[in-house]
Amino acid sequence: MVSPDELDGLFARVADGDRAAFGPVFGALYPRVLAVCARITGNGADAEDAAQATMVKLFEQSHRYEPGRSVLGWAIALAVWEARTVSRANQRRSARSSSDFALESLEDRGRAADDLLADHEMEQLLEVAIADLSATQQAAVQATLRGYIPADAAGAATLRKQRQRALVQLREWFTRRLRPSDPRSP
Amino acid sequence: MTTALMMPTLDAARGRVARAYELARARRALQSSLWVLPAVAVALALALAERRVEVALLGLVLVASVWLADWRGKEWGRALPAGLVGGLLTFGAAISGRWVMVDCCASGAGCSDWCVPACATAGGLVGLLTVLDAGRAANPLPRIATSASLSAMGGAMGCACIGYTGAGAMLIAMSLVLLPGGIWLVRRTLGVVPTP
Repeated sequence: MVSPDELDGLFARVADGDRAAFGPVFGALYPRVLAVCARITGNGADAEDAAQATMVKLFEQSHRYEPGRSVLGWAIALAVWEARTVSRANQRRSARSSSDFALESLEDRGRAADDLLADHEMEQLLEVAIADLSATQQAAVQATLRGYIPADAAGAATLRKQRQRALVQLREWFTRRLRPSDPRSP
Repeated sequence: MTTALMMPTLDAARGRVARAYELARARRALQSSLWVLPAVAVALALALAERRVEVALLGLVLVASVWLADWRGKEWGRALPAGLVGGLLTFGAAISGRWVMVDCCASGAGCSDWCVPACATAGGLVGLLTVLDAGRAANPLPRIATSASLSAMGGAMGCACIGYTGAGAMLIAMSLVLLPGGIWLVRRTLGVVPTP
């Protein structure tokens, strides 16, 4: 374990361009910086990102190091800053994704409302279309919608024929209705 | 997390930090080397037309040497102030010769009256300063080599404005001081002669 004083001496050598001191300084500082970042971010991947960013900044600015200053203190201050930056970025990201979720659910609700409205319009149209049918065909449609099944075979056959005619009429009515350019549309 | 799993991450982090460190050093060295450009520009402006290519080449080598020394660091980097001051002295001596002897230097006659002695004196003086500066270093050889090279290049750039005789005189005078001084410093480092 490298003592803080030894670390200061080693870092002064790194600042002077001594590459041989790089490995010992990195080996001594990285685990401590990673531990600080892990405590702040509470997430392994984020802690590693913050620790690497800290080490990059520390070594990039090594020429600014003044002998006698505590490099460990400097590294920890940088680590706290970087870890908080990573945490804040994550918070913003999660807040953005939850607002996106809220927006999506609003859109879903909007879509559901549109569907409801369309269904309602369709029901109204269906009522108008049924009203245009003849009285026998209207009775056949009402009997089918209510689930009425005639007891005798002749009654059932008549109802089936009336229902088929009603369906043909309804199809024609809707075809005319859904073709607005058609001058015959009601 | 096991050590085996942690190793690639640690190696990757170490590699990334090492690259950032080297890049930062290279950037900073580039900034330092740019300080030499005004001297190169002055030398080019004052150089005789037929010497401009040599002066430009010397200037380029000087800029590259300053960058290399600053990026390398340690004694090479610490030699930069002495080397640049020495280079400025020899360069200044040669340039002053160019100014004082404008007419004679333009014709090529009479340069030895002023330029050659000025370059030789500056070379000897810078050699002495280099030895004195290297005497304070723990490892004097890279310090002497770097600062003497930079001084010689700076002086040669100035002297080459006029002619090779001045540059040669400067280098000979510098060597006459540097060689015995350097040998004495190396012997002192090896413990052959006692440290004063």
